This record gives sequence, C-alpha cells and structure tokens, in this order.
Amino acid sequence: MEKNVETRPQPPVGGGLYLAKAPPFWLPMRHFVAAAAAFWLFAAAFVYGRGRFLGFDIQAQWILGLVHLATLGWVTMSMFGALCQLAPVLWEAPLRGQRVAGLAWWLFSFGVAGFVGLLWTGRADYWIPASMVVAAVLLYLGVFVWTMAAAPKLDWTGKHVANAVGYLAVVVTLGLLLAYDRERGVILSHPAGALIAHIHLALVGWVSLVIVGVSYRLVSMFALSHIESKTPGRLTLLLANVGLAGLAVDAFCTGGEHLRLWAVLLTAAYVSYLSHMRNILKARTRNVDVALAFTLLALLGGAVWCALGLGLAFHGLVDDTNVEQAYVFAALVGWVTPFIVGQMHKILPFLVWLHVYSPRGALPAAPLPKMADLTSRRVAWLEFAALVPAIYVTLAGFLRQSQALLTAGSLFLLAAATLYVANTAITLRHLPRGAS
Amino acid sequence: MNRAALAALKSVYDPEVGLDVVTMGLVYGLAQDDATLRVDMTLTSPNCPLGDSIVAMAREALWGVSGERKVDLRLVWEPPWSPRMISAEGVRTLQGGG
Repeated sequence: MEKNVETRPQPPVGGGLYLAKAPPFWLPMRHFVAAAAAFWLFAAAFVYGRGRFLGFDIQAQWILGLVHLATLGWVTMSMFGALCQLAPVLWEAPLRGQRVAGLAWWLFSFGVAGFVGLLWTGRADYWIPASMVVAAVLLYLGVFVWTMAAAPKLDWTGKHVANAVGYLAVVVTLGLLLAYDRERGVILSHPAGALIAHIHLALVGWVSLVIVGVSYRLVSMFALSHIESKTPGRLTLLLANVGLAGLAVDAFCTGGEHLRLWAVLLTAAYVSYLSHMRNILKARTRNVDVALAFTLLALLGGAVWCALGLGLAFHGLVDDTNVEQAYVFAALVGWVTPFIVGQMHKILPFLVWLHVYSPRGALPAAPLPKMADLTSRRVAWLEFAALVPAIYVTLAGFLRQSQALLTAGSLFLLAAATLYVANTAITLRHLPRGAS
Repeated sequence: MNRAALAALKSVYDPEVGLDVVTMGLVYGLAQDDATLRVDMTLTSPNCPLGDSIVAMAREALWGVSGERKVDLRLVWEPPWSPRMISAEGVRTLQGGG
C-alpha cells in the first residue's frame, strides 16, 4: 500500500532544538582552522628557536612573539571558536552579534599575525597590530557579554566563563600598559610584577577558568558520566578568584611580596578541580578514548604546572629564566594544549557531521557515518604519543638546561602539531567542495 | 506494531555515542491506536546539540512502520535522562566488551 506522501513527518528544519540556535558553520570553523595553523607555526618556531632558549630572558622580544603565537593564535583562537560554537549549549541562548564575531575574527587573525611577526623580528612598531588584537578582543567580549545577558540562567560552567571574560578584559589592558612601559619605561613602578600579573591573569583567569568551567560540561557529556552535583566548581572558582586577584594586585603594586600565599590558594583551587574531575571520571560509562586520554594528560600537566609554581614561590627551585620558561611551557603545552586537542577531537567531527550529514529531509539511503568515523583514531593516538614526550622531554630540557633534551622535545612537539593538522585535514575532507 | 516501531527506533543511532536510541534509554513510551503511533522520547539533555538530527531520524524511521497512522513523536524531559538509563548491553558496548 502506498503511503500518503503528505503525511510524511517533517524534520524540524530551522525550527528545531539546537540548529535554530547554532551559529553558522563557518564561524567556529574559521577559528579552528586558524588555530591549527598557529599551533603548527608555534611548534615550528619552537624547533627553530630551540638553540636560543637556554639563558635567554623570558622578556626577550622573540620569546614574547613565540609565547603570544601560542596564547593568542593557538589557545585564544581555539577558545573563541569553541565559545561561539558552544553558546547554545553553555548559555541556552543563540550567539548574539554573529556578524560582529565574524569581523572580530578577521581583526584578530591579522592582528595576531602582525603582532607576533613584529615581536619575533624585533620591531618596535608592534603596537599597531597589537591595537587590532585589542579591538578584536573587545568585539568578542561584547559578543559574549551580550549573549550571556540573554541567557535564561548561568550555571557554574557559565559562571566560570563569565569570570574568565572579565579577566580577559584586564589581561589586554595590562598587556597594553606593559607594551607602553616597555617602550617608554615611565608608567609601571614594578614592571616585573606587572608581567607576573599579566601572565597569571591570562593563563589562570582567562584560559584556565574557561577550561575548568567547560570541562564540567564537556567531559561529563563525552564520558557519559552520571555525576549528580549541581554546583560543580563552586569552591574551585572561589579559591581561584581569591588567589588570582590577590596575586595580580600584589604583583602589580609591590612586585609580589606574598606570592607564597597566592601560590598555595591557586594550587588549592586546582586540587579542588582535580577532585571534581576525579568524581566525573569515576562515574563515567565509557572507556577511555583518545579525547579522554588527552584530558587526563592535561590534568597531569596542570599538576606539574602547579608544582613548578609552588617551587618558584617557595624558592625550592632556583628562580632563573630556564625555570620560568619551564613554568610557562608547562601551562601552555602541558596543561592547555592537551585539553584543547582532546576536545577538538570531539568538536571538529561534530561540526562537520552536523553540517554535512545531519538529516534535513528524508533520510539518505546509505547509513550515516558516526562522528568517530570522520577522524582518524590512529593518527589521534599518534598525536598523543608525540605530545607526551614533547611536554616532558622539553620540561626536562629547561630544568636540566640540556640542549639535547630541548631539541628532542621540540621535534616531538612539531610531530604532534603536524599530526594534529593532518587529522584536522582528514575531518575537513568530508566537507563538500565549495563549503565556506 | 510496537515491536516494529521499537525495531525501527533501534536503527536510529546517536552519532556521537554510537548506540541506538532504545539502548541509550531515550525512548520512554510507545503507544498506538487506530489513528496514531505515539512515541515519548527524550534527549541526553534539553540542549543536546544533536537533538534535531536524532528527532528527525526517529520520525523518519517511525514513519516507515506506521502504516496509515499518524506519527506523534513527543519530546519529554521528565525524568531527566541520565547515563544510568543506558541498558546493560549498551554499557558493555561502551566499555569495549560488546
């Protein structure tokens, strides 16, 4: 018997649950592609500069270029893309100002490229692209604040992100002051302390609070964990805010007379976070897949970063430039990078699946692929295998002042970044030609 | 009919988890009369990013077995879904034993 075609159920095109709130495909995807390119460039520059790290001041202009390639080009670019994509999930509201976010991406991309390039080459006119970066960040901040203002409620993930967005505003302001002071030397009474404040407001206040907040949602979701807590991270957020605000004010005003206290508070915040993550992972239904393995690697890296911070604050470690470099490297590559890479192994296939395969009319005749089929698990595990020595061999190189270890670690890092880019390309190969 | 509808829903997969919606415990109720095939189902969360796709696939699958009946697929949020609702077979699959 022929069925009446008019009774065929219509899928909720455009008026559905998530798709109606989701940003256009190109918006987060541009961020992720640019971030992958920046990650590779950072790793390549790290190999190129490996022979010059030992004994170099962390404020050497080319090192600042390298650090900002990682913090802005790789980490912040990924985070902006993820926040655009996750807005409907995190805040239950569509991303506001999507055109503004699109404009911000152009400004940010060109600004970061110019800023890093001019720092790397030792030019003094880096303030021009730096002002583009600041303008872009202000646009992004406007978009996120506008979106959060429309959210029906902010859960603890949303609260972490809201705090992080506030810290980002302070980070760029302080960055501008530092740049001006570097050229004119007349504003800051404690420039070294202001740099400590800038670094920690960026790495703890902006980057880590977003990671911590988002991980409560994403790690639970991907691990299929049945954790019941309604207030994840309450203690973590409190301790992190007190420790970070104290550190920033203390370092900015006095150069950092009470660093031990702030180091203890920030470490306590991380221990509180670890405790919650342990509960989430204990209650998981899924086996450890590659994304979860990267998350575990990130958690270990965060612990190493805290240990180095305590060592520096309590003078257990000699406070020299190599240890400071190890400290920043542990944060950026030991803690932040594995977390981003792990989540990207879920987010990128999701985006492509949604764009290419999500049924919008009748079901296709062929079975739909699963998201895991859109990426190469073998390449992802190879990325993991390269990133582990990239982190720990390089850290050993900094701490033992060994050029050979730094060389080996930097080559592992380049291998990990190259494999990450290759896997991103494998996922993007599913896009139809001409997709924007 | 219920058996056919259930079999149809077992062909609908969550593309991220890799399990079908019945094994995931997302189907809360299945009823029929002469005019309507009614299914109550939920999603892993109200903001599940795959919600639209899963609902579209479920509707399409049910349409294939509903005969002349109208398909009435309703999304319900009580009780909220939890991974505890995944069947034992599904848990074994997720943990690599299935």
